[in-house]
Amino acid sequence: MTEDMSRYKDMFISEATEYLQNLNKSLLELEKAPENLELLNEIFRLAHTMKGMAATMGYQKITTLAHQMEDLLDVLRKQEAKVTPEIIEVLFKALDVLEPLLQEVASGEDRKVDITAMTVKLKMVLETKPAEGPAPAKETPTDSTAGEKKTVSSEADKKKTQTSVRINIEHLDNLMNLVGELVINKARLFQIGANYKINELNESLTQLERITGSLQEEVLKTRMIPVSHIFDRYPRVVRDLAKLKNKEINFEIEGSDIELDRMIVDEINEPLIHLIRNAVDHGIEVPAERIKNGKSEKGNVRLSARREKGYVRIELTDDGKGMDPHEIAEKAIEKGMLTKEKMAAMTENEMLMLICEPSFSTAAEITDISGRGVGMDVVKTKVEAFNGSLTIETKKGKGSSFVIKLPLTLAIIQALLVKVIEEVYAIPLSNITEIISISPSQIKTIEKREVIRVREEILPLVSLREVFGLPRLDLNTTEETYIVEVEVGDKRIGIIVDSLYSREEIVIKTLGGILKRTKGISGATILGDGRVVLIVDIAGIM
Amino acid sequence: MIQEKKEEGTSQIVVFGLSNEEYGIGIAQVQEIIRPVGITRIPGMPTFVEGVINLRGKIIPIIDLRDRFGLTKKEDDANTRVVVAEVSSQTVGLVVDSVSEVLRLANDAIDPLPPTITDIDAEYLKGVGKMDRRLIILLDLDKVLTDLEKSTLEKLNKMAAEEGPGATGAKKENQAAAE
Repeated sequence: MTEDMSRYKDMFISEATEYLQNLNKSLLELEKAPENLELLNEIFRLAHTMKGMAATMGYQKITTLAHQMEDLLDVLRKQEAKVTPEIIEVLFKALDVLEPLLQEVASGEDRKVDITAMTVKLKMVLETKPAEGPAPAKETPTDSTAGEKKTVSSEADKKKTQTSVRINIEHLDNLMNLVGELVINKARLFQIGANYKINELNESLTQLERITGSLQEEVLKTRMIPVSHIFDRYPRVVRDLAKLKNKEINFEIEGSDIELDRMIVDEINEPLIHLIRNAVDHGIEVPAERIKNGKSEKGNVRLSARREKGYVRIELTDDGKGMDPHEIAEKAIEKGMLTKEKMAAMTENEMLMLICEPSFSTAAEITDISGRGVGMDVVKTKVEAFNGSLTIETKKGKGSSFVIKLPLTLAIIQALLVKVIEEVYAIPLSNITEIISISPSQIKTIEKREVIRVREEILPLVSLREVFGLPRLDLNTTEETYIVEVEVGDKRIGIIVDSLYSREEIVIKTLGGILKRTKGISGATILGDGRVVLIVDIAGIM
Repeated sequence: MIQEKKEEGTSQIVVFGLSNEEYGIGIAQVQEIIRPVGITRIPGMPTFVEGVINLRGKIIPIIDLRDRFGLTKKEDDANTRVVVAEVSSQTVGLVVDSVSEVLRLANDAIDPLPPTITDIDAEYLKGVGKMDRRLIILLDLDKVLTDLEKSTLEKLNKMAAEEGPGATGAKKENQAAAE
């Protein structure tokens, strides 16, 4: 490839990936409505454009395959042959070949992806069928006709693309960093203004505050993408898996226009796919069993996203067989993860969360679908890594529901600054449920663990002094101290701190290099006075 | 030998003091020299990691080379400086006793074979520069830093293994530092 072309490679990959996703989506719709000519036209157009793009770039294999698809689709859209399940299947398979082809291009190495078998299949699918209509394998859909026959939807698409620009994510990150610095410096100016009581400065600072606020909001918005970016792939996942397992599934998606930080969206894909596969594979029963249990033949799986005060709540619900907490606990005992005594002391919710322990699998047999790759433990770890939480609700025989709560963005958060001795630490406000003022003598010890009773409930405590290697708090002192009650997922602890400092909007900076493995610390931030303050990794100190 | 631009066979060296010896690093690697203020301690880190500072919006780790190399440590005074260096795309601050000057050394005045005049392991050295009657030990910062990362990881792993959760080892050290 010439150097000139390679510059466009990234662009091609990202556009082609988008096309592939749209192809998948439209094909799924076509499967439900095979007579829909508009859809067929849309699919044809997508394949045609894909072919054109690949040809311009000189990617032979993609061009050939897309061309072959286009031929088949042309016959279909001219209604010279009927859309059959076989044809749809072949088209799906062709998309499955296109994907590794794109990866091949992206990686720049020849991965020997073979397309001959697929192209033959595309050709044969019409011929082998005893034609229901005249089905000559028509060869030449000329580019000009395709160009003229633009559907309405394609024009609408055009309008949309004209108002957006593709930007490298790196630029957005830099922009975010700069805004972060601006916010820090603004805070510094405010402090100066307050210290020296300069009215004029304070007035223009108020103005500056408004502007930086809007700027920050806008920049944050640029980093947000709708969850449809990943959600759109899932109908295909469900369809394929349901077919494989001979299950009938009605898959619904809701709220795919909800926006999240790009990084979170990318990272959350894998866990979500895992949850979806679990729901289809283990959750939903086969039709016969469902009928026997008085349920509808078709299983229902619902994926929904919605905003909830500073959070995005993603919920995956199925009306399958559900889980029994006690069975899970029994299994954990069998596996030696748990003792009978411990089980007796556990709540049902705690038993349920056992499935998120590494190496726990409830499937009687490990299938190649849900038994491999990410486990529930990875789902939980990943969600918590983003300061999010995972909760499970389930009813034996009725179904399960997995709820993931994620913060909207990672870059700027609200935090409570606390003090231990002379050191200041930041605790993300989103984790905090309550702050309690106590006298140290109220702290009790159960099995060497410090606890406190809050409204008839025992709250385990973690001393921030201890976690960060500072001298222990003298329990006999009468001086007031504070418990910051935090929550991650279904876990709750109280963090003992000496005093509360302030509440602030902080810009999270990750620590790298030598500092990449800090314990109990998830990052750092810079305060208005230029001081560096470390952010407590709540999940890490639990 | 030294990476910075060579003007007629010379190298520019930033010279600093570490427990009564003179050390130098190539000027190209030095970003700036600052005073050690506003260091935030990072709990649970080996003692040679003094903490982090805010360098114009960038958070950089501060390393005490004296601690790392087992040299005698001096209390911070008016001469104590932090040499901010960029090493393999990472910015770090190195605490030194003092920074004296920038020297231009003729390349033939640099002896590539490090003599046994210092306590520091020979592998971290690039050579020794001779100027008048002074000897300036030239540090190989890339090596020093890779080693720092490695030993940080090792220490953390060791602490985790020895103490289980809670890393009391670090606790004691830090406790001493805090008192």
